[in-house]
Amino acid sequence: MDELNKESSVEEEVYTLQVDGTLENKPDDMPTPQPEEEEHESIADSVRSLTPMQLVLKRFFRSKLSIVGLAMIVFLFLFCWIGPLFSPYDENTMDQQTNTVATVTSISVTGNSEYPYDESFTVYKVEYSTVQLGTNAPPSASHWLGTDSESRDILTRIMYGGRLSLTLSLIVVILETVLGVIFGGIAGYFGKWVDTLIMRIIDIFNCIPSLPLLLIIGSVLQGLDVDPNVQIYYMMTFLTLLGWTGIARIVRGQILTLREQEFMVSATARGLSTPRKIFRHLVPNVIPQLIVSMTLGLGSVILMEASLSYMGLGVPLTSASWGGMINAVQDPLILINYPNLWVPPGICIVLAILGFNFIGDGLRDAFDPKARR
Amino acid sequence: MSDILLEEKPESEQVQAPEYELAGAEGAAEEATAPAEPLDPNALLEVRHLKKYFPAKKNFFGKPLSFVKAVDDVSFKIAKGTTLGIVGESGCGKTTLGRTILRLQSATGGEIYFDGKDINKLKTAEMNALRPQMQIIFQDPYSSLSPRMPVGEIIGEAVAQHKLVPKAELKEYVLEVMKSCGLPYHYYERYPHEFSGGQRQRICIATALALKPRFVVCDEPVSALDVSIQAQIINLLKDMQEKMGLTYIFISHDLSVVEHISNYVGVMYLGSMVEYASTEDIFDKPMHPYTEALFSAVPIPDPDRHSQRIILSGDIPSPINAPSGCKFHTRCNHCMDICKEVAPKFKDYGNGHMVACHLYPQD
Amino acid sequence: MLFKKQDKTQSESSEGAEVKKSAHKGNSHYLSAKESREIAKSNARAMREYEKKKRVKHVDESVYTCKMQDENNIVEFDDLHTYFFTDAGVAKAVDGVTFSIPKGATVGVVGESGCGKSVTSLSLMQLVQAPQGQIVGGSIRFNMGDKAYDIAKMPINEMRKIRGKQIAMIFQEPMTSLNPVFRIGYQLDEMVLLHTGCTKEEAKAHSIEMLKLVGIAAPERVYSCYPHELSGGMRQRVMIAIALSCDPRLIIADEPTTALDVTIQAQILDLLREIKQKIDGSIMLITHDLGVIAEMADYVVVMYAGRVIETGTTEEIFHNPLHPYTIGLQKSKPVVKRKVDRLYNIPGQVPNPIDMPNFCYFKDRCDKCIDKCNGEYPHFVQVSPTHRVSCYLYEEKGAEGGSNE
Repeated sequence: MDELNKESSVEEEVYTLQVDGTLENKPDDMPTPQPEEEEHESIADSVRSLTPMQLVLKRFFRSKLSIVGLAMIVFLFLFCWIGPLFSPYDENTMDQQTNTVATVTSISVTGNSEYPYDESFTVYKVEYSTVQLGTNAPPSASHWLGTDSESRDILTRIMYGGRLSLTLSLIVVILETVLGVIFGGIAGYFGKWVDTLIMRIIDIFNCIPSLPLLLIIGSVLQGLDVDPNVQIYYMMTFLTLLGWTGIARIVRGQILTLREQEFMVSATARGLSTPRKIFRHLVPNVIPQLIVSMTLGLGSVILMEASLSYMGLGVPLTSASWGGMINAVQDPLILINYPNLWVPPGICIVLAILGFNFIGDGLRDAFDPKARR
Repeated sequence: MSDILLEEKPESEQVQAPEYELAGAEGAAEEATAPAEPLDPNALLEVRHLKKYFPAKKNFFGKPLSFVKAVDDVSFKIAKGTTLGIVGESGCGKTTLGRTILRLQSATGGEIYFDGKDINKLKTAEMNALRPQMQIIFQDPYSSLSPRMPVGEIIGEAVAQHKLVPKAELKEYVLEVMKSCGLPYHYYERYPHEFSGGQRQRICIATALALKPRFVVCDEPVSALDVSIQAQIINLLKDMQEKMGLTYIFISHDLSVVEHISNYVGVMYLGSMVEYASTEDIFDKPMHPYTEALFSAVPIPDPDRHSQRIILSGDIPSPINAPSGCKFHTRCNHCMDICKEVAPKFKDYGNGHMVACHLYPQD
Repeated sequence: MLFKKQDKTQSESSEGAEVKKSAHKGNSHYLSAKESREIAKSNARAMREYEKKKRVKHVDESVYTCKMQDENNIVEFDDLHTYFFTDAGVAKAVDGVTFSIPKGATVGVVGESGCGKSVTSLSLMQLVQAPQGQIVGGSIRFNMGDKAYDIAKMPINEMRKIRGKQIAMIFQEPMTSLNPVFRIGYQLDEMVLLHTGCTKEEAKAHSIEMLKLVGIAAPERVYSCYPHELSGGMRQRVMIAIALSCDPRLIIADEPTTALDVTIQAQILDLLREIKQKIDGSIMLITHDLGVIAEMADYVVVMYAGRVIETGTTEEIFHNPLHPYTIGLQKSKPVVKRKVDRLYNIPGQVPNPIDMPNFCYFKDRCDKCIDKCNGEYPHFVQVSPTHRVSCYLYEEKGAEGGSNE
């Protein structure tokens, strides 16, 4: 089996090495590259394989779960970015539709000592009141998922909230990766005391309990009267600062193993410059692992953002976010009576995280040539 | 299969290990003056008392307590245009020797004179300028090519860096090198994973030879290949040697291959060289008991010719606590009392046949 | 029948590939997305069918009972086909292999990587990596003494009774074939306890005896060692002890000495030879080293690209090699004390057994090629009672004997 795995690569053109020592090559014309050259078909040549990208895609799509994950994420992105175009409402449009409701109360009156009537009769009390139809409305034709306590269309808010959640998580993950690659790369390549220093710093960062710290920062920001619209960016910055360590560890480990590989020794033996060794030889080999950890990271950042918003520390109430929408359950009345307010954003969070995790797992298997199943 | 000592990190040039001060390691402290003995003018490479120790155990503060003596006082020289074969079993330090000579690992002691210069004393920049002249070909063609780089770039990158050919002619030059190594033109833009072991090894050879080296360390270049491909690669190496006037160190555990390609053969055991002679001499009349046993152990592909086997008892001792005296005495069939205490001298017994063994007169 | 069907889809897809090739000249060494989709589809279909067949419970014994052609053989491979359904197409790793292992003999299987020698032995153990790898045709008759079973058709629970007990295997890499977390003794006992049902004490006694048999000086000490405490040679001895512990009738040694040093290799080969005498079993020795074969084997099977190209006794193969590949293989290996100026080399590469055309697979590397070689794959030619070769060069000489495949 082993042999076969090795052999899964392409076999190639046959040259003939003649006994008198001259090398004879079949395409014996101008020394210009002619990739189309396919004149003489040998047996070894007839086998063709897949391009590197094809190989990865093929293994990725072999797993049903990764296809499901991809479908979920594509759906969410379409839903969040295309969806609002078809929605008649805006993120903050309040449905001011009202109705006048007449409440009729009947009072039966019978005689007593003060009013000595003989017969009893009924008095009707009619009260007119205005009711906000758009508040906490149940799902209907005009509001597919109903409205929230501020009369805003839930479906539309989920779309806008998704935009925010997905964008934020992308930004955070990209920043984390940049930091992680820089520090992990330096630690892994230079080793020795640099490595020790950076790794100890990472250890310290990992000791910081992130949630309490974010809670404190949140309150500090509120105390400093920071604009609630900007607050989320501060929070995300701190999230980035706390989150890069994982990626740095992955990059460092990867570079440590790559550094021992013979192609790196060969690069040294050929006297290649350090930047070339790092950027042409090491970094491209780390990218698969990075893509995997970034995809998996997206899910966890969405979750983090949702928890922060849920605790009221993240996105200001005016702009929608999935976590913020779930916040509504803090009112027991809503928890019990209006599941249409908090179940849909919850489902979206679950979909996003599952989707990213499925894709991440699929990619991990696809990039790892040993994990052939 | 691979040298166990390889598991030690190969230090890259930028992060050199701090030198450990060793009691009794002469030569390390010598000044960068002319060598004590004059150099052989015919020799392209001369190695004197080369030592490479890896710390095996360290105390709490990182001070090494014991060493793996991967290369322990090895001396030899190679004339221009010849091939020195190094044979030995796994763990005997032959791979470490090859890498130390190229300063891919810093030597613990001793001198390496390449073209009259002691490369251990060169500055990093000077060394980098010298590197194209000294190349290495590795055993495993699967891990010695950068996986995410097309073949053309792999071959050309170092050529470009050292400005060996003008930029405009680079591609043409690379294609020319590929052709001479038996690689078709259209491989230029393909990736290493698409090739079989033999083709990859050709790419490795092209990569090394594109730098127009004068000296190449071949570290088990055919061990990982199929028999029919081995012959192709050996022939290619020989052709290129003739064409470019190369000098090789050919490291292998396969005696028949070493016999075929080498002019001189050195036999290593636990970090020391136990015998060194011309190929004819050493195969006709091996002097050291280890060499004898090693040669007799090779299976001969002829059902009628069963050689008189000398079967060595036991396994190779651990290089951390190498036996005292002659390192081979634990497995030797001719072991005497003196072997257990005194290390034999590496002496010339005529015609350049050097042996370290107490069976032969020591004075 | 199944296998024929598969063959058809295969040829269809390769035809499709041919058309595509002319269309996309620029990147013709890569498969197009459409082709690879087709391959994936036909692979999935084939794999599903074979797996379904395997899952059938309660297979009647009569289905896999068969009759040996020659009672003196321990194993007969008859037109065995083992395919791997890979992304690049169906790899015919073993494609019509026919040879037999006589009782008490050592049969050496030689060939280069990818020639199917390991897959043949794995098919014999039913250890081919499923679902990609499947035995798609032919039979492997195994002589149980009083009856014979066709291993290719055996259900997996029955197979477990044969593995280890009747057929034992020694692997190439002694470093990884022992479980690092268990003591040597446990791994030895496990085997005996599983197959014989004796007590623990008996098992231990037996294990120590086995360690003695393979020439380990301090068997009690080794019995309580962990694998990492032993050297490569010792581990290979332990592997041999494990293989021997149930008195197997056949030992498959898959490159048993490739990972070892020359001096240790000599020890292990000596041991294997000794042990064969003692236990009176057969050995199927798989190796790429002709020297090892010459020393060990009674019969030699030369394989190339999934097919047997030449079989014969060791003397015949080494003194009178007929197939150009066998000749080339022997000439291309330098031999100590046999000076040649330049090594003979077989040009070209070892083919990958995907989409093989129906002519001699060695044709493009062969220097003795004749016109006939462009025809279909050559049949076997019986040169002597024991010597067969599959090459057109010898067709006239022994045409009458070469009719049966």
